[in-house]
Amino acid sequence: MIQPITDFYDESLYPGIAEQFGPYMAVMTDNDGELWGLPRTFDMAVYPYIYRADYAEDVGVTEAPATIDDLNTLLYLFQSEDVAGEGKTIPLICTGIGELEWSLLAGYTDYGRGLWLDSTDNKIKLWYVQPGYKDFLTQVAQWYADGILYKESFNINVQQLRELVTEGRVCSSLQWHSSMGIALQTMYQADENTEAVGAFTHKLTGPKGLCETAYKGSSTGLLISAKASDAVVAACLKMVDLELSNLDAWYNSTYGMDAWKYIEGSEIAAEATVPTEDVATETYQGEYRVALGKTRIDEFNELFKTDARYVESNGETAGLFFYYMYTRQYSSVDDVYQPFDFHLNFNGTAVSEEVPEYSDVNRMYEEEVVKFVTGVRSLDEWDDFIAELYAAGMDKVEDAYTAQYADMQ
Amino acid sequence: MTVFAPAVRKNKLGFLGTLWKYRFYYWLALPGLIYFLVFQYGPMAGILMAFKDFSPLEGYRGIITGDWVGLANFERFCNSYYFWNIMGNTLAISGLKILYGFPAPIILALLLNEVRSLHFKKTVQTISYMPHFLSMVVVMGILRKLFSADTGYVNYFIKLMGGEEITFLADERYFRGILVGSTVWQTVGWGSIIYLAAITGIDPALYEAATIDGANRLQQVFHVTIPSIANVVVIMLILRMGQILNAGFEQIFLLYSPAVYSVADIIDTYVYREGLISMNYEYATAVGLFKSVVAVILVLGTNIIARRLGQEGIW
Repeated sequence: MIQPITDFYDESLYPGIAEQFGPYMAVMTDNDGELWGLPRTFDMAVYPYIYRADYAEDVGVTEAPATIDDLNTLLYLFQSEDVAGEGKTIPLICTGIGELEWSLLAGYTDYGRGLWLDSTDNKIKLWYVQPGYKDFLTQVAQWYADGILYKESFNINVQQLRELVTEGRVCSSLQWHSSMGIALQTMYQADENTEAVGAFTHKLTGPKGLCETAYKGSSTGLLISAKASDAVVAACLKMVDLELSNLDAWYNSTYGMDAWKYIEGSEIAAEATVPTEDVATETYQGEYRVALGKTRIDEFNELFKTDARYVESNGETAGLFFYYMYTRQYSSVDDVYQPFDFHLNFNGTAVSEEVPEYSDVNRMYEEEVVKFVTGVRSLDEWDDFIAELYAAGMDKVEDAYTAQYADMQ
Repeated sequence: MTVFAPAVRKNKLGFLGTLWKYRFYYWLALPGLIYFLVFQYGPMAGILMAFKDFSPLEGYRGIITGDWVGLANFERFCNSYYFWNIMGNTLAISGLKILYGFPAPIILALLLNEVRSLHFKKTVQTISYMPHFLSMVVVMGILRKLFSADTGYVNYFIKLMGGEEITFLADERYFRGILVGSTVWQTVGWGSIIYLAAITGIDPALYEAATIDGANRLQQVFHVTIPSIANVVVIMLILRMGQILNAGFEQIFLLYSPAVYSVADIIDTYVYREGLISMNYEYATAVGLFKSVVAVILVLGTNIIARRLGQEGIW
């Protein structure tokens, strides 16, 4: 179905690709050294605490929360002051326990949201059996019980979350950045005079340090068909390189030829000249843009040099702000916690195939952790739950990951 | 006295001749036959995947070239920690839908048959048919609006009465009830059509005879109407039993969450997560084949039971 591009990719021939994704080629490379495609993402910090700065200002908080205590103060103020009005305030929202783990777990544990090596038995273990996870869960359960965490957080999807944000009910989220970010952008585009102001921080710390876990560039990437000829492979690489090294090319592939212009006064920021409502009638809809990265990243980051807690309530600026939340400036993995497995290539798919019990363990974790948060199951039974996980086959999962780790040494 | 028996005419045309003589009828049936051959029988070759170690990267060829693993995928499913929970949920939800959802259209058809006002009857039929045409996504959206702990109308009235809000969709005690209730609401109207059609086919002389014998309306329903449509009910039940392992993937998938897995996770949702999302297509195929085999056994068994009880089966 697909073919490796090992023989085609050369850093000297494709400087644009090398600059953007050179350090991340390992995620697309197998153990035999074959490169199977170009990565689309890089290591990022994409689970910040995002909040409505205008609401925070309404309750007298002008600085981004730095600690869990600050966060608690802010969240309970959101609730007590009912900043959204009519009793509809949602102080904190997410779409699942996984989102909270990425955003918060590292503040309560030594290893954050990732695989870790237990020195007591030298086994690689899953994140939810590490010391401190129960403390994290206790905090989340407290938020749920007090009505701080939205009651339906565990059975809504991202689209429903965004609807609640655009209704003005949501004060903050611990979630993938674009979930609330795009919703705020939508509010700005709908009303230039909206009072909603978005802000974020990666610097939240808990008892064990930084709360946010760095997100490793995933192994999703640009692949090429096995049927493609050598000329086609070279042409594809050339096109991606052009997009990543030439800003005009990037905007052409995003908006279409002659369908964009640079924003007045800027050499790098651009906007579409085709109105959004006309997009459906246009034949080109950005399908040629395949690369997520962009050249002159540092200049874009300079554009938002304020490291803005606040962003101007301006459609274009806010849109670009949230788009660039995952650029290196604002999502530097150096600013957040890098877990034990951050620079290791564990293969979860291989473990899933090797250990049939892995799916049962996953389901048990997903199901029971939610019950602990919602109070259906008492946290006093946490140790019993760990025993149940091992009865379901957790030890085999650990053995499989440990074997992979041993192969890496 | 000589009795003359009519001579039996032999078919002089033969098979091909008959085929040619009635060719236009066969041509009329051809598109349907091709559809079944291409989309129902053809894909059966993919069942082989259930016995193979299939790699998606090999494409369709992987079905042939993959390593033979025998019943390993079936063993994996049957040895799963949650196998009995998943089977239990599937049978329980499906059983509840049969228990409440199977008689409901019959009762509606019987009631509609007794309505004298044609206008009222037509109105009720139209209103009861409407939910059938709503897509499952729309229906689930309606349910979310109704039962949301945050803004749901049901919880609004509960709080108005002084009660505490209930997270219906994340509560194991209520989730199945919501599934079954919404299914009955959505299918009762459309399902009554076939029974209404069967009722209209009953000979009016039977009702006249019953009236002469002194039977009132209710007795006529029990002694004339129901026995007359019993064969239709049995056939529908046999067909429904064949679907017992289809507990409603779309409905459950759109509504469920980890909080209610223990009462809502069925074979199809499990296969979706573990077979399709994880790209274990061979595993998904094995579980699908398992379901099909069980369904065939149930259909055959129900048919046999129906015939033993003196009813018409499907064959």
